[in-house]
Amino acid sequence: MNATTIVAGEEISGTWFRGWGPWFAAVVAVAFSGIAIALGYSGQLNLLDAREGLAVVVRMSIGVGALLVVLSMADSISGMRDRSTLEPLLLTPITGRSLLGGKLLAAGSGWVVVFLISLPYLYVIGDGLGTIALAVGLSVVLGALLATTFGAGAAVLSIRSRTNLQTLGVGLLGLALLAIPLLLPASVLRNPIGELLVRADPMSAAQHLIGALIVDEATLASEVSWFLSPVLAALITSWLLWKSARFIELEPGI
Amino acid sequence: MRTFLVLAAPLVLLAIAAPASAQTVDIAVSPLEISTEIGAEHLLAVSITNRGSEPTGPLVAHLVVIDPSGGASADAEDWTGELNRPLTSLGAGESISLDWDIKPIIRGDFIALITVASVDDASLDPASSPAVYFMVTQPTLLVSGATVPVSIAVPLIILAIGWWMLRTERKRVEELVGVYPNPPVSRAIDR
Amino acid sequence: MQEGRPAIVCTSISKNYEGHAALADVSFTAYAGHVTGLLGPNGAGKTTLIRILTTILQPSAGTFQVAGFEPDQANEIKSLIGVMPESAGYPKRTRAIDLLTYHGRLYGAGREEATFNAVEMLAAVGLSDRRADRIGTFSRGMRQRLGLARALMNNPRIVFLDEPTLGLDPAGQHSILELIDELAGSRDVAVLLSSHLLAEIQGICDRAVILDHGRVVFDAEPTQGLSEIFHKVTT
Repeated sequence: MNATTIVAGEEISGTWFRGWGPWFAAVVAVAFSGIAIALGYSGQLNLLDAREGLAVVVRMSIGVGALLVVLSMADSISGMRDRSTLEPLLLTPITGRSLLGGKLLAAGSGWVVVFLISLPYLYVIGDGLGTIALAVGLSVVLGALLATTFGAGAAVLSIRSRTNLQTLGVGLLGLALLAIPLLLPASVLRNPIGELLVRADPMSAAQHLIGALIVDEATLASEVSWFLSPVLAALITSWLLWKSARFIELEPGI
Repeated sequence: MRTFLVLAAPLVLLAIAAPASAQTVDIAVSPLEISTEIGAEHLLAVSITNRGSEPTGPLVAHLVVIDPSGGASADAEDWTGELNRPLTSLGAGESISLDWDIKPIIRGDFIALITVASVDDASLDPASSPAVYFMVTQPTLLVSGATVPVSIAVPLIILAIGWWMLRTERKRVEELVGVYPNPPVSRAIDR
Repeated sequence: MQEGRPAIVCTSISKNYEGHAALADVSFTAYAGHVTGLLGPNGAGKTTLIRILTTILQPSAGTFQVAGFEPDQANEIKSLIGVMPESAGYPKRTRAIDLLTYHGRLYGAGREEATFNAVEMLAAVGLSDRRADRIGTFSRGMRQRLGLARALMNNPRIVFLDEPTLGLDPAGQHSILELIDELAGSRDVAVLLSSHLLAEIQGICDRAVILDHGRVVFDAEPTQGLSEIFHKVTT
């Protein structure tokens, strides 16, 4: 068994057998249940048709999964520095890449669990729409891409930050910046610069894809170019992590 | 209801639009009838043409939604993300086409209009499009028969899995205490 | 005293932090089967030196050999050393035996072998009865003993102990020092023991190095005027 697998196994059992994992999963399931029932019965939310309901569940699955990965990976190095648990690990003969690879795999388990929990809800909300397979496929592809992007990005920050607070502050600021295109008025997004902004931002591009493919029933061929920024972002952040993993230090900047 | 709408629409148009003879701007819109459900998005194709001999100056197009029954409140702001669309000046005979996203949010029969007014020239009378008739019904409920059972069962299943995991962990700890005998203190150091 | 094989050879090591010299031209040798004391007041550079010798910090100048390996052979060095860092943190929810098993596996042991070693090490440091307890429930002394057990999980040839008795009561200090003495004597292990307490070094060390403001001011057997130099350094 290689070091990456050992680290991943330890982290996963720490989260799911000895930690908060099962309780978190139960809270996510209750949240999905609340949304599923609200989508069906609340007069206000009946503004959404079934396709939009399906899109809400896909967005929630991807969003909660990615957030979980971000929080786990932000803690990966700078959190250990803060708790003085990094030094004993650096003293073992495992490489930084194995350490971070294992932690990224373990953090990814959070996204996988959220995705698995979302499946029955996708089934009941998408019942009769013929788009369940599409919703599941988008959840897997976009969820994996965004989880990789945000997880690797948070880990790079965690390596370079002096404190965990700094990692979380910069990380959450980055997420807020990525959310800006989602808040712009439709008139701004209609012009070429606005569209470019949405296309370049992996989070907004994913949001667009879910809306276009599930709600507006656009064809995959017509929307395939929107996958570009999520794919590129995942590749670039993974490459950055691969390069940065060699520079895990006890005290960054020294 | 359809008859009522047909009768009511001209009155509304009279109230909003200026006399046809004063208009220098024509507004065409398509489609003119939409039967739909709450929450469904529709695209109105709007074409605005300057029929006058002078440039219009800057214009603004505005969506109006009217509830002819007077019962429900029809707030056009809730029907579209862009209530107003600023337009540049149209030269004589010039046209501009707009796509207008509209999403009805309440059940009932409604009239939608696009009006166009000059931004800075009070002498140019506002113009109005033909009425677009919306017949909006309640959508099919999202909730399928399985939603409630699934919404109750999934959290319970997750809790059961969590309980099983805790039990497994407790058993493992008991094994750690029970299975491995305590070695003599010096043995580890001496090995 | 008969000197064994050189385990640590430290040659002119310097370390600068933003213009401040934490270590300046430090040279000394530690031998297998001996306990070498690294003595000095707080801030003398003991922890920095241990971090350099354990390859997690780069020196600004100088070089060293640990177990015959050069600084650029970090993985080989890490495989052969055990380290108990000063004030190491522990995951509070993890059980003592799980922590040690995990560390054993990171050194290449299988799960069964690592668990068996962990049970033995916990017994060696007197934590058998608490092996399945969460570390968060441990006292400081118990955590120090756990740290020592962790440092021994890979059956190291050289052990670095950075202030291992810090914060312990006299009984706890005595118990840890006894373990360290036994370790060097019975396993031919080189121990580099850092401390700011003269009595601790005098009690069990075969050789002592005093660091003052990053410089070596004493490098000999403790009987050769150690206390005079130490008092001069600390007053």
